[in-house]
Amino acid sequence: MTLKPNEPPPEFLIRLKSQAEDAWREAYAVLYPLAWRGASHPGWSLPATDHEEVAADAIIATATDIHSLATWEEVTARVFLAARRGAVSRLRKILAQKRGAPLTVSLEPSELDAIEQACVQVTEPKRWHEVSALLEQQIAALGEPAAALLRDYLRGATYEELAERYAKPIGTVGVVIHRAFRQISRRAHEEPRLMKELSLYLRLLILT
Amino acid sequence: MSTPRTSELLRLSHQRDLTPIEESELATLLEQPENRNLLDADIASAKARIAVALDYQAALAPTGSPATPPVPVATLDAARRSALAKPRQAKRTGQIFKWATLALAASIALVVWLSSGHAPLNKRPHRLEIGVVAMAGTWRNTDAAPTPVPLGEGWTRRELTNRGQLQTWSQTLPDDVTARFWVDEDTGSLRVILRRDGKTLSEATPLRTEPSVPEQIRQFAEKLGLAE
Repeated sequence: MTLKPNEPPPEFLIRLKSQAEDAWREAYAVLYPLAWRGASHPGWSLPATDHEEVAADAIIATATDIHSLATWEEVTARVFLAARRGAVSRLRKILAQKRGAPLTVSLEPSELDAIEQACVQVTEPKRWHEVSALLEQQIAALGEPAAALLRDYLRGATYEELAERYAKPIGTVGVVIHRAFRQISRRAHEEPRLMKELSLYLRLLILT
Repeated sequence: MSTPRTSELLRLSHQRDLTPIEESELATLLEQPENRNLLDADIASAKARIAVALDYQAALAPTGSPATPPVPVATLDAARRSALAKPRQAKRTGQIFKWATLALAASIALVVWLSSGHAPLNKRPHRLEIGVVAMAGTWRNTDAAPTPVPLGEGWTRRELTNRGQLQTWSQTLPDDVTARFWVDEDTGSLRVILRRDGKTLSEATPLRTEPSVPEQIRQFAEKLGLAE
């Protein structure tokens, strides 16, 4: 059986809940790369050992809480969010201990806080899984180059970098980003399938 | 220095699409770093959340970057078995997650309830305040702007733009205010700072799943002798 992270096999989840060793070893093959990517970010570079520990911790935390999860999507979402949050915590710990090398962090503390909050405030992983897919669709619907520019911005590119990469004046880059956020917001409110869920998510966006 | 016109245009864009002339004006304004900071601040919270969601989608459909090392199966097996051997610790973690969720839900419920213009909480001549984190920003529809709330005689709603402001607000009690109530998401409780016999006191009560948050506020105020 070959698992894909976005395919939910109900019977497989039952085996995970029974802590079947073979099922978990099969799940590791999907969840570990997912957790590894969760702990990765263009704005930081964790030492390899810390990176591996954060990824493993995310899987173990999910394994111990597996009985509360009803779908495979919840498992993948939980693992990813735990890894991303764990990476931020580990970064702070390393910075506090001043064991810098080979750690690199280009994000401001406030940006790390925002990422952590984004992970903490997800209370329904399955819903978040669906909402994240919808957001991806909406960004794709912006068309190019706006979608690519927005993705780069979300991944931490500066206005100056975007202006050079897309051969646009900095002010125009700002307008493209601003317009993209407004369009996503508008389309989110027009989406009938997940309107309720998305509204809740967007409400969470503005509570902090 | 940022210009008031930038703020005005950003605010206007929450209500309607900007015209091509206004967008052109905004583009000129955004040439200045200070004005770009205003835009960043306007979308900062949404930016972080959408970025995490997009990264998750990218991780589900990996394109080969970043490279993942081999899965440490033996390490994961050992760690999982060890973690499962500590059910009490896991249970405690679950409980913390549970009340944190409850507290956040209560905050949202309180904001929604207050926005909907429900009935007053009491009619005593005390000057009572409820602090809520304002539901306003880039993602709010203009037709869903905060509604004036009839909190009732003696009650005032204080809209605060973020949790930091809420924390500052909740640590002070002006002379003309009897009590300030708020939901503390960090401890999963309903908290109040109040004045009694010339002294400033603070009290807290755990949030419960039932009854509604406003009803819990009412009961808490009653218990403190602040509502009839």
